[in-house]
Amino acid sequence: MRVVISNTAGVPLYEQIKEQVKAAILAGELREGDALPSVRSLAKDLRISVITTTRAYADLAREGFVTNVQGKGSFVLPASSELVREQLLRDVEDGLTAALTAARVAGLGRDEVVAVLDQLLTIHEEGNQ
Amino acid sequence: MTTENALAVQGLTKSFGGFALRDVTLTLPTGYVMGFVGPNGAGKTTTIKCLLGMLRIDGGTVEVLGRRVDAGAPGPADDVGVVLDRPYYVSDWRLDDVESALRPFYSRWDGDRWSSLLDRFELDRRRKVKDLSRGMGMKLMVAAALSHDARLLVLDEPTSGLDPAARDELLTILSEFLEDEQHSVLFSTHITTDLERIADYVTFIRDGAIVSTGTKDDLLDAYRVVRGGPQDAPPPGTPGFVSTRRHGSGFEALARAEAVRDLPDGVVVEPASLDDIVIHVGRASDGAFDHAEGSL
Amino acid sequence: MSTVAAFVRLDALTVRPQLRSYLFLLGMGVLFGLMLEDSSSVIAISVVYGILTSSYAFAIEDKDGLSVLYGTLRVPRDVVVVGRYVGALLMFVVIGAVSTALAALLSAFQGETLTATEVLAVLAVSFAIFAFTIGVQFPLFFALGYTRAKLLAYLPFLLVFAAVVAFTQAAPDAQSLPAWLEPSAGAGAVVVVTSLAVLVASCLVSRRIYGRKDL
Repeated sequence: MRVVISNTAGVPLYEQIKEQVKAAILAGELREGDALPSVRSLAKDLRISVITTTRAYADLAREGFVTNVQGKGSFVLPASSELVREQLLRDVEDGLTAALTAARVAGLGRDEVVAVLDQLLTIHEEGNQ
Repeated sequence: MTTENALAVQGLTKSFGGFALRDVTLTLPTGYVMGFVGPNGAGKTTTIKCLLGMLRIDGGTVEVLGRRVDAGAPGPADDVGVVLDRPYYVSDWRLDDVESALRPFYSRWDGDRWSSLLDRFELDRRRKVKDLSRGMGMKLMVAAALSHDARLLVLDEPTSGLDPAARDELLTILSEFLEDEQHSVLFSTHITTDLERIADYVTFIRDGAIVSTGTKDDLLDAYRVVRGGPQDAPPPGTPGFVSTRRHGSGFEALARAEAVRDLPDGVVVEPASLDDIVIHVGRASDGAFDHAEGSL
Repeated sequence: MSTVAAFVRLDALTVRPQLRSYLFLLGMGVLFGLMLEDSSSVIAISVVYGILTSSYAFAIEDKDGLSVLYGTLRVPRDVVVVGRYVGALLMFVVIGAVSTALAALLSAFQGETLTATEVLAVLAVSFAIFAFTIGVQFPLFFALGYTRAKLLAYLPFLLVFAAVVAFTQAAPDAQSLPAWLEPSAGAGAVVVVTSLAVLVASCLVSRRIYGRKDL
């Protein structure tokens, strides 16, 4: 598992770990059933506090990406689980909300925003083919 | 034997040579690192001496690994390892003598471990204690503690006078030590950068009294650094502003997180580092709660 | 008791690096004995060095901060105190035996006769001096630490020395103290028992002092 933390990012360390593990799961680098390193060995490797790694794993579990089995460790859950879907949907909503805020600042109307979205979707689909 | 808390100090008071610890209370749950910070002379070493049973306490209770510390009846030696700023062994001993002297006192002494640690730390067993550099002395004490399988490491200013490489090595050693969830560390220092990442808990002591104790995240979350122009400075005595430094082109302050709402535009609010907190709160203790400097 | 033995061993290791300088002093004692042409004085001189040496452990404890070591090794305070006295006694026994052997060798070499009673009398007086000095010094060391107690602690030493000098000055014709003891086994026994009592009393005082001390 690849985790690179930054001391100057201004983002709390647990947040950085959480986001990177999430990204690895969504990208398929970590698969269902894969074991994450224990909170203590991750803390040792990154030389950070155990509370920080514990918090990152607890957040991941709450968002449905992993399950923490007492005494066994943490394991990746299927990415299609209900919680992950909800989480992803929230991410989509957050991104679109940010786009809408920008659109309001730019003075774009509803039709224009929809047109931009359509255009982007088309580019994305072509990119994936 | 497993205990919930590696350290539990309740209402500790101790007068000692014109200095007094007042109502010191702190708890370190087993499996974690506590940073013990404060300026020199704040009471860190006195507290640690109470933990080790070297000082008779005047009041309160001190429990180490679930055992009441009483100078008369100490528990087994194996469980606690102590690292000070310099070795407390006979300075004319060679490192081989150190092992031969310590070994009979520990039921869990592991000679192979000792040898491999000396090799790893590149400590020459023919060297005398007095000929070791600061960094080597620190590693010698750590090697001894790990060789008797200590479950709690107490470090008192272990990094003072160490070069950055040796400090870094100590952090690596501590990180490895903490991989075992039965292991705990109390780390006293006035160099807070050592603790910024590794500490789970932070206890801040000043003038013999605890200023704050709890998880590091809670301590960091409680404060903000605020900077702004001369006109934006909060009036002296603004509640929640711990320490404000005014200068010709503006001000810098440490404030409680709840006090930084409704500030004028253009004022910068940033997370505080441990260093910020220790420096500013320490400064507030000098009675200089709010002071101006360098204005012409 | 096993912890006392362990602590005595630790103390021995503590002063061991000083062994060479001690052997040097012992050699000087032998030389003195040769010069004085009095073999039994080797014993007395060795014991005097023994008294000096018995404060080494305190001196090194002070210099190298060994009270922390005793704390981390969880040596009970009582054990530190009793260990120091037991160690000093052991040292007296070793020094007494070695110096007696040396004295016997010297006397054979110089062709003088050294009787057993003479040796015993010298040993008894040496033990009295040893017990009195240690008995005063150790509680001072335990109370103040070596560095601060040093000056005070050598006072009894000087007192004994002055007393001996005064005694020889006042009664130049009198026999030396050991010679006075020599014919009476009973007097010798009284001296030894009293000296032991002084040491035990001193040890009890030290325990009280050190047990309460902040280190």
